[in-house]
Amino acid sequence: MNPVWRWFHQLGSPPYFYRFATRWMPWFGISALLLTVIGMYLGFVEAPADYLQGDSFRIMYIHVPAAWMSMFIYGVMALNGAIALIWRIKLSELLFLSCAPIGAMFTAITLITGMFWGKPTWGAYWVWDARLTSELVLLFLYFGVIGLASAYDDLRQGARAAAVLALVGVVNVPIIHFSVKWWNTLHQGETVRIMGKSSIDSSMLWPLLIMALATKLYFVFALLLRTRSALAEQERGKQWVREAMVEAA
Amino acid sequence: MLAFLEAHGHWGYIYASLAVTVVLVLADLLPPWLRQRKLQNDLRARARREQHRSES
Repeated sequence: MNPVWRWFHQLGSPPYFYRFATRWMPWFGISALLLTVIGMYLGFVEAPADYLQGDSFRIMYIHVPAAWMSMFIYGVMALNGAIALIWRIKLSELLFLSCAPIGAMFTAITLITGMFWGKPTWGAYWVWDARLTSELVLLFLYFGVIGLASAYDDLRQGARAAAVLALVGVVNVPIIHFSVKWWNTLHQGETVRIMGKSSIDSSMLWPLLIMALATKLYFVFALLLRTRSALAEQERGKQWVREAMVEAA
Repeated sequence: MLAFLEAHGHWGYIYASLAVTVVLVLADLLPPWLRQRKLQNDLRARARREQHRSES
């Protein structure tokens, strides 16, 4: 068997995943923190003020990576939801459930920091613009997944019910992404492009990319933390959990 | 609060964004960390009790 595929199979085993999470979590957490410090220094201190928006543009260094993460995490959550529904893998159910609060947090950060950017730039904290409204719908989808999963006494049954909602909600992700193209919105269009030239100076772009990487690493850290904790809680009666806890002392 | 933000100009909004982000990140990280600590303490206490019982 291909070593990567074998490792992927091994990761599905709760004791293996627990050890993996315990070993790698600090590395992801420390890297995320270091990159956040560097990105924030470059973005909030070194980068020049925008000629049109002034200093308020610096909110972008939190707002934009958080917005990217809000959609990315939804994709990861839906993928795990699909795996949980099709193959009923216990770990996928936990990963699915762990994604929802992290995604909700990033969506809330996106909306709140967007409001703080909107006031000095547009003159209003909120407008019912397509981008803002579809992002708000994303927050409600995350809340729906969390609420539906916790409405069941049986965690596994709740996870599967919530996975159906998450899969239906996937349709909102391309709507958020393309909303600035499909509708005439107040929200600005794409500034950073993967294909083609970004319409942002490199002195402003680099801190943004560093912050984007920091949020990705934070997500892995938070996902491992949440899933590890949920896994230990679910399997607390098992011998391997007791051994792992005593070993960590 | 909104009047306070508006009085401090662009940096008022920047600081408010940072403060909200820190609060939300802590709210995201603390519950699973505390749950893990509690479970760890419970299981270690049980292991100690079992060890005492087997020794006495």
